[in-house]
Amino acid sequence: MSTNLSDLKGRDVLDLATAKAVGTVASVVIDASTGRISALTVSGSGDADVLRWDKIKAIGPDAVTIEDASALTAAQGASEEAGSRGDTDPIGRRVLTVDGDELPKVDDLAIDTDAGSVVGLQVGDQVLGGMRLRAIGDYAVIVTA
Amino acid sequence: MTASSEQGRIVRATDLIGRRVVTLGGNSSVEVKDVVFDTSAGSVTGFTLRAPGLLGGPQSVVLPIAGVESIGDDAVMITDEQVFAQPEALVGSGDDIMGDRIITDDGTALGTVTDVAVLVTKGDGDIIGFEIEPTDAAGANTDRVLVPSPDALAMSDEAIVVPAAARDHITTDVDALRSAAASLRGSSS
Repeated sequence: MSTNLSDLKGRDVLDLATAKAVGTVASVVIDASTGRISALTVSGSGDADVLRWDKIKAIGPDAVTIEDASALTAAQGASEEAGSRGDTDPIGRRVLTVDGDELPKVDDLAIDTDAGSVVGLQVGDQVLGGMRLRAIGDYAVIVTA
Repeated sequence: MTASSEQGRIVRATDLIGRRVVTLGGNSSVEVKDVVFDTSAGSVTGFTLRAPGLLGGPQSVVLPIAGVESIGDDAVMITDEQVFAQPEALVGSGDDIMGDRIITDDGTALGTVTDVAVLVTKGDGDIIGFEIEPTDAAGANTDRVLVPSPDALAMSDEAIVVPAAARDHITTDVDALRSAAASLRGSSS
């Protein structure tokens, strides 16, 4: 299944053991070198704000479900810490090709929720395939030319 | 796009001033302050840097041309910040070429330099021509023309010497400069 990051943001993260929402999806942690989504970040769940991809039970239209609260962990390592700060969220970011040409800013990100991969980046009127993603830096999202 | 990056791109030196320097990881902390030429070699040796913005101070490190991946319309791309070097790494006088006279080796002044056209490929910046405000002798009917540059140049504080044949290759089209420089270099060697 494919979903847009903008639609995924704000979705409840539901703890199936308690049937309570532990927070809402804040953003994603992306490993730009592989195009994989390694985790979701969660707001409202305190310090344990990282939901690693392999801890997700399901991504449904109304909630992201987890077995229990232990699925949430504190950010570990540079990419999760950057994700926890919101630095790996590409929406609204400047886009540059590896040749140094600027494209429109990132409007949205299409995600394959089964594979946990970035399918495409919506930049202005065009969609760039997820394979073109090279890096997400503090200044720009870098894509192949 | 791929073809053009392999063949390089022609950029105007003045257009590069203020352009952001960005790593392939998407990070950027500096922009180009000035372009440093080695005119005797007919090439760009690198760039001095400054912090971005109007109040950006000069930086203690420079960017040698060897560290440049590519130069696009909006950014100078580098692999990472490891390519920055101490200022001594930039050979070349850093002389201001703008305003210098271009004179042929048979003694005809073609005009004064208003910009420098650089062919940028990965790790290299070749001066392939000069934009000049032409004299009547240049035989141009516009107020700016492009003169192709030979491989190596003799220059002093006030003049740059080009082969007489350069006059026959004067153009107004930046893209034509590439073949003009190639034929000038072929005929002068």
